[in-house]
Amino acid sequence: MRRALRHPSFLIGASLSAVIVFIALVSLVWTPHDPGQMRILSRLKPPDASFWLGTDQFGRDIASMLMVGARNALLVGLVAVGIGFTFGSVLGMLAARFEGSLLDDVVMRALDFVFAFPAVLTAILILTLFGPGLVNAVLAIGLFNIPVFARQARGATLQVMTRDFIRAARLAGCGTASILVRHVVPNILGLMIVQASTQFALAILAEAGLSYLGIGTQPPNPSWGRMLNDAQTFLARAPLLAIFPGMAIALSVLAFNLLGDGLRDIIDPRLKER
Amino acid sequence: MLVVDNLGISLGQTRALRPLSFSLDAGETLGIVGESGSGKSITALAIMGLLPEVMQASGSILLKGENLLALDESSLCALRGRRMAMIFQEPMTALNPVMTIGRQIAEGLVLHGLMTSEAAASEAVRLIERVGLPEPELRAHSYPHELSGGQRQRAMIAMAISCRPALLIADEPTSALDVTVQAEILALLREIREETGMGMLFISHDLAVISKLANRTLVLYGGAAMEMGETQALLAAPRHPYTRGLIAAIPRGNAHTTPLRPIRGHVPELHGLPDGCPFHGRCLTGTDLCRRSSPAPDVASTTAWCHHLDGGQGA
Amino acid sequence: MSAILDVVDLHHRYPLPRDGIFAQRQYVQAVEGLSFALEEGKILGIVGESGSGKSTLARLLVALETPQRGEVRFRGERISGLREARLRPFRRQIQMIFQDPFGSLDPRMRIGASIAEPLGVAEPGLDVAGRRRRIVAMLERVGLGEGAMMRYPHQFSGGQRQRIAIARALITHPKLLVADEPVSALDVSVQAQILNLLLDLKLEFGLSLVFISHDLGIVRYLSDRVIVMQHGKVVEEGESEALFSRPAAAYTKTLIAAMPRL
Repeated sequence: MRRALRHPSFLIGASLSAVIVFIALVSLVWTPHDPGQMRILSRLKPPDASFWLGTDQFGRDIASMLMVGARNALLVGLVAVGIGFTFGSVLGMLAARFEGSLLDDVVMRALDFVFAFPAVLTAILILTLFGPGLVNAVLAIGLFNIPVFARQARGATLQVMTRDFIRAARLAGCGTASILVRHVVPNILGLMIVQASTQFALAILAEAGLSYLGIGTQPPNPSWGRMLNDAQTFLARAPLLAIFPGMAIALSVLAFNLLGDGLRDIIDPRLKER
Repeated sequence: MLVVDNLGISLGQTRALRPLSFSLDAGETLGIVGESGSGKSITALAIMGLLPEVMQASGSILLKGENLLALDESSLCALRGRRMAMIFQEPMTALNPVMTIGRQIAEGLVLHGLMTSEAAASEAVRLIERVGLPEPELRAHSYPHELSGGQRQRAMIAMAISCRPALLIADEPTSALDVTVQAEILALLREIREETGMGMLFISHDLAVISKLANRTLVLYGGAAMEMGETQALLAAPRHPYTRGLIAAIPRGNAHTTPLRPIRGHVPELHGLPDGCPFHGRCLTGTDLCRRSSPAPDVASTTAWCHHLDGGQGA
Repeated sequence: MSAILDVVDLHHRYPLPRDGIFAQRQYVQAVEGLSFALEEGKILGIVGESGSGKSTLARLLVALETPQRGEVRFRGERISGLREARLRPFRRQIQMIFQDPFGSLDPRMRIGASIAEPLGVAEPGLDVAGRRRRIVAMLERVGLGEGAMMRYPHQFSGGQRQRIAIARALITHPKLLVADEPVSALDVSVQAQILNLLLDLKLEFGLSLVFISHDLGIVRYLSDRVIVMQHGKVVEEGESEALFSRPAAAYTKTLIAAMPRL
């Protein structure tokens, strides 16, 4: 814990992430204005006392939209990484436990198959097939997260399984399930959390990308990616319109990446210590 | 040739090595024996100028009259490999995995400007043959991973002696090897010492291995000298309780006939070391005096640092 | 005297990683045709250098691996090749201690929980207080206090960790203990303590012991009988004193000659 407080990238990442999460939570109960409300008379206004970050081409309050957009981005990240983390970790651990078996081969080849497709293209394909929308976007991003976590979990599990304390647990009479839960999970969890943090940043980026293309979050639900797309038309007249969502995306990706890096540095030396 | 005078090493407030003095002549081998945390490896690193930056050394280390502690990094670099060389416990980590053995041996010769690269290449083959690797021409083109542990250690030795250094430091060079291979490597080191007349610091946790090679032996414990003297005298009549305990803890014969007398307690952490004699907590003759003050050296058949030497003679 | 452990014509090999999907699988023969027996209450020393197959043998003896051929019998019953569920009754009777006391304890588990693990499987009926009493008694027996229970492995020295590993192995009162290089990673001054502790506990618990080591001095010190292994085969077998004073096989002679002595 003391090491965590001394670590700059962890500190910056954690505080930035905390701010973003806090803003998203606040948006649940309060935003400066209704993010969906259009105002014909106050279109494309620069920031002022009432509209802190100005308004867009329909006169909607940018600050409010960004706040709700943060909520959507985090939700996508949470669910997509959750899907990847859960299924990926379980598959990876099982593949490792039965290393070299048919199960291992099938799981890992199937995941290679998913891995081999260009993620964004396939996500577009899925969303075109099953219809655009937040839910399908989350599922698509989640699907591509599974192999990432599975590989990490398999590698980490294989490494832990070679340690003598796993043999000692078998000699104690523990079955496969209890060895995985009691000994493997606590020992790989740190690495997996680091990975989750990095994947979280990527998921936010992916959601922004899909929404930018118009197949992610659907209007009137605000999304950073779509705000960026909308702003394109007015880039010359109102550059701030693009700069604010762009910064939101960049800052949150940075925040979770720094958090992940920091966690890695904090967790790694403890692993080396054995 | 090598004179170490009051060498002390500290890590912040922690004393990793208390002021230590010894000397080494050409052709002589000083064995340094100790357990984990005894300070034996950092002594070697200090001489090579390879201490981690967080550690500070005091005192002086004179190699042929030149104080190594006063030299800057570039002058040390010129000496390393040329005047002093080191071999390690695990040659795999000390050898470059993507460079052939021959090139690694030749590198030092070229680097120190002793030879052209063609001459160095053929000298490398000669050295490979000298350390007893079969088919030297072929081995020169091998990579470290293609050799066995013992062969890699031989390659390391070839590298270390390539520039005919005055001082060779061997830090646990046989601890990772099988006994039969260990015996071969020890024999090789003995031969090379006779041939080149270099001085050797031989560091090991194993008193028996040290006794095969060292003319004199220094016993370290918890970063302080316990006893130093001619190896034969020290083994035949150890004066310090720690040396005696160490010898008694080595199994001889059978449990039924000659039961072991272990040293009680466990090896202390460096930062928790007491002020006085570091061994006093585990010592059977330890008294209040031992906790308070470090003993002065007592010179007799060996030099021992102990307050309670039973009138100066061994047990 | 009857045998607690019988090993009959044991063979084991490991697959090497394949060069490609279609390449023929290659194997390393680790153990080849081993047969021996261990008398109840005795110590059998197994000596060999790296690659002799002695660690593979240890894992075969405690049924962590299944041999390709041959049998391991515990008090006459075959334990090799059994499913995990059929093996469970034997697990509490056959235990092992490992070379690396840093690796054999789960770094994320408190000492108390580590020692409780085999006890929980072997005696599920034991209540919390009873379990605690047993663990504390065992910790004290190996020279550690009750305070150790709530601490983590990294808070102990190598020798203390090996004591904890011994406590864990003996908590279910096994009859057979396989020790694979249990003191090789320890400081010299601590090795003797652990060897003496093992000898004391052997008498107290009525253990039979397989003691595997590369160190001839230690094997000679402990063992009643000794097996010398090389390349997965038995080179020589005999009563300890006789084998060390009058070795018959050339390899045994080489080993003894190479052993550094004071």
